[in-house]
Amino acid sequence: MSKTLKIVLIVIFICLVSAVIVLMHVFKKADVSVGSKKADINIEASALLKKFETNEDSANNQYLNKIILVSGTVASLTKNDQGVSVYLKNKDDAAGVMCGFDKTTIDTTIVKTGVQINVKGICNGYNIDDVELSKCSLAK
Amino acid sequence: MKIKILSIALLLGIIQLTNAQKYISKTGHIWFYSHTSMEDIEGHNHQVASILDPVTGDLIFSLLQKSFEFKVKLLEEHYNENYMESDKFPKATFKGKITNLDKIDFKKDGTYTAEATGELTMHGVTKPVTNTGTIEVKNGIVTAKAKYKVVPKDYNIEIPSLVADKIAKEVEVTVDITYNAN
Repeated sequence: MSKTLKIVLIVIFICLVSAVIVLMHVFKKADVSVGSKKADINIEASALLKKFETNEDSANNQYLNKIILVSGTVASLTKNDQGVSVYLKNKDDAAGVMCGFDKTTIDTTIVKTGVQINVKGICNGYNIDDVELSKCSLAK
Repeated sequence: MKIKILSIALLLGIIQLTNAQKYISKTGHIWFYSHTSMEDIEGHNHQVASILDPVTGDLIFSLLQKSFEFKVKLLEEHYNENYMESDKFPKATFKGKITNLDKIDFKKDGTYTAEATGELTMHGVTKPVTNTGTIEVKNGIVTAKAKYKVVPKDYNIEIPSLVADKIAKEVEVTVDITYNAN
């Protein structure tokens, strides 16, 4: 094998590998849940809500984009094409925490109205009077 | 006697007014669709909060940008980090009124054309908006639907020239909200 041929082959090989890496990055599927990641903060739904009610800006600084493990009681479930929105709300509170689940990450035989659950998700902020989490998964 | 009856009637009237129900949703669906010959992009938000007052016509939609879901991770990152700057501007809201309330009977099943006018705020920019949609009443359940074209440039959303061919000049936004009476 001539030296030039060798170099050409190596260059082609490097090009192919980098093309594959780039394509894998471009077409990488969005995460449907943060189930495999460790929670940054553990908090009760009611306490999290109070933080946002008291001061939205400081709560945003503290919780936005963080992985939060929140515990609360299921007040309602709303199914949609892609998943289920689970509303955690304490009986005595005016609002609650809305948790977005992908349909592959929720077991509706466990998550039912009135049941106490732990949810791990990313905090997206405060929407009118509720805190919102997305990419949720059930936690122990 | 007359005064008594009148005052009772007035009192009942006040009770009636304060009892007037608002329609509320916390799980409304808003999605956008950008179509070009290069690429179709869509994002769905199933956690839209909305309040519709059938007495005053007041209408609010409110959503968090980060609650939009995408199929591809890179698009989700670009949407939040480069275009919407979601950390700086986490919300998008529409606040307005239904202007043809007299044409809509929330007590009677049917599909009504609704005209709304108000202000749309996103990416830190507020613009007046007037649009037509429908209000559907079926077995007491109220659903609001509308389509609206958003021009990213109007809201100071800068699309780099490198990807300009992949993002529509007008992005179609669809609203589909089913309300709970409250």
